[in-house]
Amino acid sequence: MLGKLLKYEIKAMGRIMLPIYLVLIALSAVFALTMRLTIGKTAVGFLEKFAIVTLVLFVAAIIAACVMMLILVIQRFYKHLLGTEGYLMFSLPVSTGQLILSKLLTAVLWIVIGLIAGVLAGFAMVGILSSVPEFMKEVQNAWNSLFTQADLTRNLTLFVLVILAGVIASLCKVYASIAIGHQFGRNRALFAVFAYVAIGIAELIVAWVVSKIDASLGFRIFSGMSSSGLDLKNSLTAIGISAIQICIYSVITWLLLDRRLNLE
Amino acid sequence: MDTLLEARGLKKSYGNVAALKGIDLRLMSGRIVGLLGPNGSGKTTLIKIACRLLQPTEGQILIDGEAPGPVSKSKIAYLPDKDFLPDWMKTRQLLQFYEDFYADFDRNRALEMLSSLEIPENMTLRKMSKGTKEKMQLILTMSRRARIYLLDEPIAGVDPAARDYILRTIIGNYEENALVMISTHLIADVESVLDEAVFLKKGEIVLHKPTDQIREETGKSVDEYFREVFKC
Repeated sequence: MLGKLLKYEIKAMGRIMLPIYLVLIALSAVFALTMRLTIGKTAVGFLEKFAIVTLVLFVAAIIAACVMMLILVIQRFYKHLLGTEGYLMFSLPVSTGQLILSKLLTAVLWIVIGLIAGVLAGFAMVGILSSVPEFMKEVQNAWNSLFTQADLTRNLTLFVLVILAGVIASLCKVYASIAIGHQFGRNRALFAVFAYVAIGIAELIVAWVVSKIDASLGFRIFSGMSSSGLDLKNSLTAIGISAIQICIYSVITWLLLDRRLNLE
Repeated sequence: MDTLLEARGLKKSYGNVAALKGIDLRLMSGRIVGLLGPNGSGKTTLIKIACRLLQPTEGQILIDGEAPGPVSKSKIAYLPDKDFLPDWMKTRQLLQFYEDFYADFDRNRALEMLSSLEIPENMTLRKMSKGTKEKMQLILTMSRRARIYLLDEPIAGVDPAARDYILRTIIGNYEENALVMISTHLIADVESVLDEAVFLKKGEIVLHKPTDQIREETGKSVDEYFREVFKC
């Protein structure tokens, strides 16, 4: 049943995110192509202007993708699970855990696809801007070095894991906040925002208390929360902290949705 | 006949407000039961607990002998009193959705009803009128060959012609050994199809009898008797 839930959730988010991502890649390609046409030419007034417009649109598309993703993550949970569509979703022969997991996994998937789309857009720009064979050589080199330099592979893996764990923890935090807000009959949205801020403050207090006990661990928690240290110990600490956050927030979300659901 | 829905000492409070004050109820297969009561009498609360959309404060409810959960949800065809379908989906996508999640969904039955109502398969829910949307919801619910149908106010807010269609749909499509529970305060419209009536007043059951027996004992129609019991 989780597979079926995922199918519909991926479709529901994809019908909005996929076009944005495609526009993103297309704009980067158009920008790079236009810039290439200007190389070595003197009268490039129109082309230059066109390139600038495309670049502005490209940046706007990146911002739109980020904002839209945030809105969708909230909307798919707040409106489609805890709004009137909740009557459909919670009457399906599936468990509460499967419903939450389908939302989480789909959001992670579309965020990852977005990051890949961003990287592809970057490649498209660099690839078309530089002469193509040279670029391919660079890619080949990067690929080779990834598998010859142990450190690079390790660092890249760690980096991806830290980001992924952080993204999942952030999503769980949003879901828990919405589930807490759901407990308040009226002003559910407002209380969800309060809950999000309160959780943030609680996180800071915990980090501060830990830093009082063990200064170095405190630093790693702070760094784990704010950035992704590529040092093995720091990265593992950051992943560990994300894992703790994920456990706490998902248990809160599950308990509130399973035991204290009250659809409007 | 099997007991398909059983409530034992079922209580539900919202803060200080008691919505259900200790409900004891046994409903059997093969019956069409009217859950009758004015607004705020606890009809929707009872149905939502049966569908596990709410947790009772005290007591328990059993669906075909089991506590509500994924298994009981696979046996209940539930029609909420809300627009509960994703409005971006087309008719045919909704059929696929029901077919994917409910093993007892009968696509042919749904297609027959859709064609008799002339609802196009590629129409988006968002573009449907309020009445068509309600019919769509009813078609999806009644196209399941479920053990239990819980219909919350299926005729409220639609015109008399649509009301007749909805009742005909319910009578013509439920499984014979299933339990149908229709919650409503519009008794006159549903009276003719009911085998049993449950009167719910301020969270308590004040009467649960076969409709024939009510008419025999009181010499009144269920609607008339309802008006007497719930006189303001």
